[in-house]
Amino acid sequence: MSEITKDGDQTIVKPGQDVVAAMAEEFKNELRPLAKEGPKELVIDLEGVEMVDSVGIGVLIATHNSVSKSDGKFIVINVSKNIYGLFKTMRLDQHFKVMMVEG
Amino acid sequence: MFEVSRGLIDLDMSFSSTVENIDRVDEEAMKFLARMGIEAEVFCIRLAVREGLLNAVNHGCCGDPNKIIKCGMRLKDNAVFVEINDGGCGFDWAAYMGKELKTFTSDSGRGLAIMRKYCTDIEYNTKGSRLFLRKEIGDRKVCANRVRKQGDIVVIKPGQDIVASMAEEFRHEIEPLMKECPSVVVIDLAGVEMVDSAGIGVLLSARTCANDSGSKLIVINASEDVCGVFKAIGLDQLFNLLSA
Repeated sequence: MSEITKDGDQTIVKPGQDVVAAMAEEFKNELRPLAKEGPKELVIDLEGVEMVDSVGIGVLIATHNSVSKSDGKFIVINVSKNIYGLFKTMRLDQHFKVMMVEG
Repeated sequence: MFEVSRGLIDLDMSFSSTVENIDRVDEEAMKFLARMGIEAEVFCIRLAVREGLLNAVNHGCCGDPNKIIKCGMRLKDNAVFVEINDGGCGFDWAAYMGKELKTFTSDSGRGLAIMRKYCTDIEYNTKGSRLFLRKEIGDRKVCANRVRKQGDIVVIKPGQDIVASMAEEFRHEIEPLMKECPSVVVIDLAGVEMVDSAGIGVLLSARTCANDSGSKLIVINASEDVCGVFKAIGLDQLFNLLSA
């Protein structure tokens, strides 16, 4: 279960576990209604996440697509160095903001 | 079902085709890579294995949990080799190979691109039921630095007494590196105050391995007491002993 924080127009979702195939369906089901609410900003906080696979990337992209439809912003924060490299390789950073974990 | 067999420099697993088992393979792979002293390439290997397994589960076995997937990993020639066999109808790699992702907004179809980016080599058999991955690795650290490989030199530095209670584990740390035929093997006995018969057994087997592979073996920093033991049983004739 992800930790979900709503603060005004911003929604923050923190999965707190690796975003991979085995949890993707549940994660998608958590994100779908949140994206439909049409938040101004949907933030995915990847603190503590060490691995994101292609299915996980698929969930992020589907959510980005949905949020963008209602002109919302989609941001991924606290991305580990390795995952940041993966997102850049897959050119995700050209479509939404990806922020690496500090330090 | 999930079966695992952990060898000295290899790992073999057989399991039902489910996405949950991908997490278990990943866990075993992580432990295996740690045992082999691989650090820098861990993320790349784990990610590539996950993607290979996803294709096997979703395409090769068509999501049928009654089908069995086999996954093997081994360390050889400074590279990690991975083989994934789904025993099913295979993954139609030809349909994806060489194709760039059509659009960014597509939420699938990235697995092959990731494997190609993160591995040195990737190859499917024609049927697509067998995947071979190879990832070259750099220098390794083995088991809390007790055994280190720097280029062509292996440094064995136990930093503790070489005695029965640790001998077997220590032997397992040394053997895989000796098999890679380093040109020089240094046994650094700094901090070693006691070597018992089990410990001597490990050092002798390291010497035999070194002889077999034509490696030069040097023992350094042996304390006066340890030197005394070596001399008393004639080991100073067998080892190139440089005292502290």
